[in-house]
Amino acid sequence: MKMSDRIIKWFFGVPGTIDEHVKAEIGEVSVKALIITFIFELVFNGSLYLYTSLVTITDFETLLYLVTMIQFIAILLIMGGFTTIVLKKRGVTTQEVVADDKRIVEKRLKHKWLRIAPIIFILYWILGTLFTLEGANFFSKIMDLKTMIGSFIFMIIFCPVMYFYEKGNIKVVQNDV
Amino acid sequence: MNQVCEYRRKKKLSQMALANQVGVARQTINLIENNKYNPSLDLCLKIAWSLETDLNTLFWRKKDENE
Repeated sequence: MKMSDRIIKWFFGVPGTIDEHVKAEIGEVSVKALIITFIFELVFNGSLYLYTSLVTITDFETLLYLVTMIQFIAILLIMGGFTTIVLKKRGVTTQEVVADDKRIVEKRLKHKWLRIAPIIFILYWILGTLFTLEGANFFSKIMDLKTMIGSFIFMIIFCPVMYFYEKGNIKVVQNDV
Repeated sequence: MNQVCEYRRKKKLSQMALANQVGVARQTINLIENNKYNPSLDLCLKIAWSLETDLNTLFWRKKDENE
């Protein structure tokens, strides 16, 4: 498989073969997402420009945080949420299996999330520590029991949710002629 | 309507088997058979080779024929 296909498969969560139909669907959805992002950026930045030129700003720092946060969430929702929902609706992210293989695929999925779980725990643990550091010592903060329990709870919730989400994307098809 | 489904059944191939032979997903074969997706010339050729026939037999339709 080509590197670009691997990236598409990973980024959009396509479980099956990346063929020309899947690429065409992804292309169409991506263009739509890009147009929505462009319109959002145009309207948002235009409104912001108008607002900042009409109103006297005293707290630039808060404004900067607010604007970057809105942009970050909006782009995440448009690029992530919109493409995920549309691709799911069009069946691109659906994994098709024959009835005999369903159990094997589900078992593989379970093992995959069991393998990923420790990585999720470590990532959340490190990132959670970094974001809540507030001047404290990194090593004393990372060894804090609260941080560890928080990461553990996140792992306990996140991994089963993702497992059941991916399990829900499995569709059983008949392998007849 | 194209003749892919008919020729696939003649060859006793499932959609999955044909999809594996030509290197696409089963959904793509299903969409082609139901005229919901226009495949590229390259894919049409692969399907024709796989079903041991030619493009005209599989995909040709008369000008006034309904899609």
